[in-house]
Amino acid sequence: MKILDWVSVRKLESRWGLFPSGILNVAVMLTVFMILWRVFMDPRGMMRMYTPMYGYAYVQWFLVAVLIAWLVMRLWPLQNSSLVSGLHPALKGAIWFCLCALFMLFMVNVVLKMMIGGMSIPYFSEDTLLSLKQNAFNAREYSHQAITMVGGMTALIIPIWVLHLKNWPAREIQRGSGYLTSLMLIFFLATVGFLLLYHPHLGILFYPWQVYAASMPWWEGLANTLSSNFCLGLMMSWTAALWIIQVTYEGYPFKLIDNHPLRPLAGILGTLLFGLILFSGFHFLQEMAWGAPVRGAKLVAAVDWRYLHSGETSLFMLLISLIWGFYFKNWPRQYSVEVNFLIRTVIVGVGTFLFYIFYYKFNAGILGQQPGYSNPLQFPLAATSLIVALLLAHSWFFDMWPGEKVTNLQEFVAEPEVTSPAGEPATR
Amino acid sequence: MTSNITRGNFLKGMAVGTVAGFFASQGISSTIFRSYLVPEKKRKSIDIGELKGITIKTISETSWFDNYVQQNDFKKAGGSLVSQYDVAFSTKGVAAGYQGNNAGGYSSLIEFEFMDGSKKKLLLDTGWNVDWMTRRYQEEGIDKMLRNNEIDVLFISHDHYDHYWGIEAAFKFKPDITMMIPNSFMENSYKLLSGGNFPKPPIKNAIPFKGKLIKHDLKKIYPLYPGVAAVTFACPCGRGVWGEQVLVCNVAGKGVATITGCCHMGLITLLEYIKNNIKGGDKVYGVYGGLHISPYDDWNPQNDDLVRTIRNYKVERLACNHCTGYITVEKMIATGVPVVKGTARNKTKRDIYLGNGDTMVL
Repeated sequence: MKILDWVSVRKLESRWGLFPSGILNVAVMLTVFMILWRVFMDPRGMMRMYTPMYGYAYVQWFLVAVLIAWLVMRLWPLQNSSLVSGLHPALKGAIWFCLCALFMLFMVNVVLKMMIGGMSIPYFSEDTLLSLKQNAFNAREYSHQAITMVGGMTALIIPIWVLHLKNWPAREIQRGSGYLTSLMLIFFLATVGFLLLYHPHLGILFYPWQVYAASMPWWEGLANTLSSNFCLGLMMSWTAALWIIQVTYEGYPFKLIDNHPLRPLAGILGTLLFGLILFSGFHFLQEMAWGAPVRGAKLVAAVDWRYLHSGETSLFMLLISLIWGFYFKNWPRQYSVEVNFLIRTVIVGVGTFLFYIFYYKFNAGILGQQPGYSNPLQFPLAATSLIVALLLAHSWFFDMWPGEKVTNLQEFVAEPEVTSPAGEPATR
Repeated sequence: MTSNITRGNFLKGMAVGTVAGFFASQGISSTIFRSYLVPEKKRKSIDIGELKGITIKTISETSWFDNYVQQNDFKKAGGSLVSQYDVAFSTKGVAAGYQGNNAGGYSSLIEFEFMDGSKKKLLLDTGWNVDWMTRRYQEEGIDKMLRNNEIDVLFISHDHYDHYWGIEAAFKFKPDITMMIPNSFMENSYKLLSGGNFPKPPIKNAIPFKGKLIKHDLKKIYPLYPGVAAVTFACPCGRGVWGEQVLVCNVAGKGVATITGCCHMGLITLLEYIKNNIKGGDKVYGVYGGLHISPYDDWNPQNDDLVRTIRNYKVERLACNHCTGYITVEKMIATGVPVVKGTARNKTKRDIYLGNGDTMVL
């Protein structure tokens, strides 16, 4: 049978109560994270892909693959198969996990490296850069930096498109043509975004500046730096804002005007505004802690790093919001909406603060990274993005096994087609 | 729960939320609250005294001879976060290298002349490749100076391979020299000091250290001589190394001068620190050493921020080399920074900065 909106129609129930099941699931997810990190990423481990950009690029695109598989494609073209509801969640999840990994490899190695990097824009391909006499390590880092940034932009556009433009036209055309059109529109917008916000950075990454191929960074006067970390930080804060509003605040206030013609505009501008508040708020907190940044300085005093770190901190907040929303069902839910939101805000705020302290105290020992807040080689989002990807995959593909179980499986045995209920597309 | 919220209320709510959010972040940061919340830089103006002059000789600034080979070694090892003791470096068959070995090293001789006319010599760092460093020490007479106790202190800026692993070359001539290090050495770096052998890079020290070891805690200023201080920074250096110390001098009537190994804390950060902490730090007379900007001829738009900013500090003489990188120097020269030129000999490839065997007098 065909199940068009599995995550919306399935009913999950904690096996051992909300908090024990939630804690168990978080532990399982983090265990998988540690295994993957140790095998693929850790500079002390086996494959040592955290160089840092080499591994980060693959993590970013794995996250994009997970987002695409559920949010955009709604598990198409496998909606008919037992891969949606017929198999044990662990087996089903593992298969979807592998499919996402294959998509990641296809996008990174075939589309971006071979096609774009080999035949169009050299900085996407390590091999092309090597052939142009870039040294071996720079070639690897620069090319994967570009690949990561396209992935980052795609990961921003996906929730904008799905949550605020209702995944048009896939929501109306629930078949391959609809899903693929939505995907192509997302890729188109991500490409435009990348060209506007990151391509000028890469244009002056090389010596001499590639002035005929890329404009000078337009943000220099605004941001007091040539680095695109300004755009990147803002992009990350916007991504965090999109998800925090959707998860912690259940889509409010935008769901109140769900059918208004200006709903998409209100959603996009409103979340951007929230993102700006996060971005400037975290930037100001850094000024309180470390004083004003100085142009040309390195490490914590660097202008560009402060912007990047605002984005990183926003995404720490997003991670806590997702963990609380997905694993602990956004507790509390029993009070008025205002009280619920207030308590959750405190939980997410305190959780972000504690995670921040924990991360920078133990990341060197646990993840094999350099100690210290700022470091040219320090990208906390490589680890954070992998955790987010695993968390989303845990919910969407593994049905939160083992802490939770689907209680309405029998509903999907006989009925020919089950569509999603009207309203917001489910994210949890 | 939602029925009592109209579109009008939604807009009002959005407006209130926006104003509150703006006030909570940007509002505070751009109003009178800012001065209460953002710490002002406290100027300490520590008096380190003054000295008459400094003579600096670059023994070796060529830490490695082939950038491509060096970067490929790191790529194969797993990137820049892999511990330096866990990297297999190319030590044979490198055409541009010294006797086929890509390893070179960084080391400089600093001679301070004090106001009373007396002098002291300090050896900054010991390079990497023991054979190369031994040759350079012999060519520049450092071997004799060490044997004759003419060098007061061996000052290690940080324990990166190219600044520290050549200690055997110095210990050959004086194993009991007084040594100053930042108190953040890697455990393996202490093992190397006492005669360690690490086959993977490969690196060894066959002559265990017998002198006095002085450890400088990070984030402090240590007066060494009149007009000379060691300043320590807590900063990440990559490849498992943390913390670096630099020399800050106050040349009478001229201004302050900085002498760095790699300057991992960043040149602007260093100059800002001096301005805010050292008496006379407003006037920068000279800058010498590695500035760690484009060591592998890599680049980053942040580096352009530095190149565009450094002119504001009005450095009178900028004698950079080593990990500053040729790209940076070309860009600095193009923007009018007074970079001290060298002579491109003893395996330094270009004359646009101070190279092996070149001398600068401050």
